[in-house]
Amino acid sequence: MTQPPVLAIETAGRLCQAALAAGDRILSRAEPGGRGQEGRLFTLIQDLLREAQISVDEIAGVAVARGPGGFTSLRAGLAAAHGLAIAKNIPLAAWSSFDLAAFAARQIFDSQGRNAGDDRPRLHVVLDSRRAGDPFVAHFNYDPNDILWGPAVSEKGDDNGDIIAAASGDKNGAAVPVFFFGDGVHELPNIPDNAQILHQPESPRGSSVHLLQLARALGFPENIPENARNTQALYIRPPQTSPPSSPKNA
Amino acid sequence: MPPLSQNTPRLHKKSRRAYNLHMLILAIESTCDETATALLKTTPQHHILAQHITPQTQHRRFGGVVPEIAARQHLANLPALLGQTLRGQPQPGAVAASCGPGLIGGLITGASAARALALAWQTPFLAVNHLAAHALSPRLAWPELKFPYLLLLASGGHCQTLAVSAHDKFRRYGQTLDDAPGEALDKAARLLGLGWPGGPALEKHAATFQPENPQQRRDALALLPDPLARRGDSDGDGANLDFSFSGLKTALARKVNNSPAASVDTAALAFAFQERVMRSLARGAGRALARFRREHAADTPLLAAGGVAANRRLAALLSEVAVRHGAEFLPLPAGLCTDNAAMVAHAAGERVRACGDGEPFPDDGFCTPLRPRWPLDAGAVA
Repeated sequence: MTQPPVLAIETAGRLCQAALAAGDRILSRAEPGGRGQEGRLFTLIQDLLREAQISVDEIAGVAVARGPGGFTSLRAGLAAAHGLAIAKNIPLAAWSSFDLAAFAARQIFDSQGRNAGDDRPRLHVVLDSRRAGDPFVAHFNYDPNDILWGPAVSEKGDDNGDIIAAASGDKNGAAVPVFFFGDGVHELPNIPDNAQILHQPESPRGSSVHLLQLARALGFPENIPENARNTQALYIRPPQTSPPSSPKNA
Repeated sequence: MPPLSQNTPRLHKKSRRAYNLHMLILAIESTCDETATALLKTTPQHHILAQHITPQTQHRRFGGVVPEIAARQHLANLPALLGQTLRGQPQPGAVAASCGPGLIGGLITGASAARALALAWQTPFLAVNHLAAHALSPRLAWPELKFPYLLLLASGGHCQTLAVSAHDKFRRYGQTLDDAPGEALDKAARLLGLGWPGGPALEKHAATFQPENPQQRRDALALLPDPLARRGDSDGDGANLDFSFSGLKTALARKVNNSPAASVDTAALAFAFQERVMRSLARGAGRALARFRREHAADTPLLAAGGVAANRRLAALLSEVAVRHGAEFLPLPAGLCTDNAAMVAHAAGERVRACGDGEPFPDDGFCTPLRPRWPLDAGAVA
C-alpha cells in the first residue's frame, strides 16, 4: 500500500532543509540558512510539491526537528510546521535534534557495514550551539534493536565536561568503542584517542531525509510516536535576559 | 509607504472581484510582547469574527521586554491561539502578519506561521506594517471615518503624529527624538518600584496622589521639568513638532537617586512624570492638528492609537486640545489601542478594498523581507 505523503522540515542546524515523501519517492532540498531563510523555506517546499506533482492538500503529516540548534532558525521551521499542520488539520510530530542525529549516525554506522558485536559502542551526539567551544551534547548506548543508536543515557545538552570520562570506558572502567557524530564535534576541546568520528559532510547533524525516514519507520503519520509528541522547541539554554535599549523605534 | 521589496510578488490570477468582498482575513501580530490572532470579515463593513491575545507576563521581572523570551513565547502561544481563532470558522481567503517594525524574533515566528497557513490554503499572504495597522485602526472602530485624519501614535516603541491620507499614505509631522513614551513610562515605573508594564502601573500610582489644594498640585508638577524636544521640524510658527522624553527620565532618576529613600514621595513623582509625558504628547498633537488643519482644511476628529493612548489622563488632555481647535477627540477602545491582531487584519482588508476590481489581488509572497525598522513615510530615515 502506498504510504501517504509526509513533509519533513529541519532548520535547527546551519542548513534550511525540507524533504517530501510521496509514494516511493523521497525528494529533498537544502540550502544555506541565515538571513531570509524563513521565507526561502517555503520556496523549497513549493519546489518539492511541484517536483512530486502533488498538491499541498495531499500532505498527510508534518515532521520537524525541534532542536537544540540556532534559536531563530529553529523557530522559523517550527512555526512553519505548526502553521501547516493547523491549516490542514494534519498530524505534527517533532523529534529532538539529538534523536535525529542518533538515527542518522545509526544509518551511517549500518551503511558502513560495521558490526557492533558485543561491544555496545557509545555514541556522543555533539551539536553546534553557535557558542564557540560549548556545543550541545547527548550520549546514547548502542542497542541493536533500536531504530536510533540506542537509548539516550543523558540529554542534558550542556555537559561536555564529562565526555572524556564517559568516552574512556564503561562503569567498570573497561574500554568501549566510542563514536562521535554531529556538527559540533569540531567544537570539542578534546577527543579521546579511542573515539571514531562518523562523517556526513552534507548533513552533519542529520538531514531532513533522515527525519522523514525516522518518521516513516515509526509509523507516522498514522501513529505519532511517544518521543515525537512534544512539539515545543528544545532550547536547552535559558534566554539571554538583557532588555533591549530601544525595542522598535521606526 | 516605501515598497516592501524589490522582489516581484506572486500575482494571483484571480482578480479582487473574483474573491468578492465577502472574504475572511486571518491575521497574526507578534512584533513585541503580545501574541495575537484575529479573523476579520471584510464586508459589509470590516467585522471581527474572532480574536485572541496572550500578553506575555514573563518580562515583568526584567522591567522591559526581553527579545529572546518574547520570541520563545510567541512560538509557544501561537498554535493554541490559531486553533481558538479558527475553530468553527470557514477557511480564510487571505493571511496577514505584522512584518515590521518590531523585534526580529517575533517577526520571524509570526510571519513563518502565517506564510505556512497561506501556503496550505493556497491564499495570498499580506505583509502588514505594524505602524500602519495602528494608524488605520480608527477606521475599524468607526468605519464611516474618512481620510485624511490626524493621529497621535504613542506606544512602548513609537511616538509620532501622522496625517493619514490613505491606507498606504502617511505623513509624519513629529516624532520622538529619543525614547518612546511607553518606554519612558516603563523606566519611570521601574525607578519608582511600581512594576511592569509601567504605563498602567504609573497611572494607577499617580491616581493615589491627592493634593489638598492647587498649590500642592503645582508643587508636585514642579518636581520634574517640562520635556522639550531639542530640535525638530517646525510648523512655520516656530512650534516644535517633535518629542523628547530622555531628559525627563534622567531628571526623575536624579530625583530618586539623590534623595533619601524615605523622603521620596513616589505618588507625587508618578503624578508629575505622567503629567509631563501626557502634556507633552497633547501639546505635540495640538500643534500637529493645527498644521494638519491648515494643510487639509478637513473637519475631522483628532485620534490616538498605541498602548499609551489607553491612558485616561492623555485622553482628557487630547479632548481639551481638540476642543481648542474646534475638533472632537475620539478615544479608541483600549483593546484597539494596545497591540492586537484585529488591526493587522483590518489594515490588510483596507489594502484589499483599495485594490481596483481589475487589478491582481495583492500578495507579498513568501520572500519579502521582515523589517525590524519600517518607517511609514518614504522620506524617513529608516
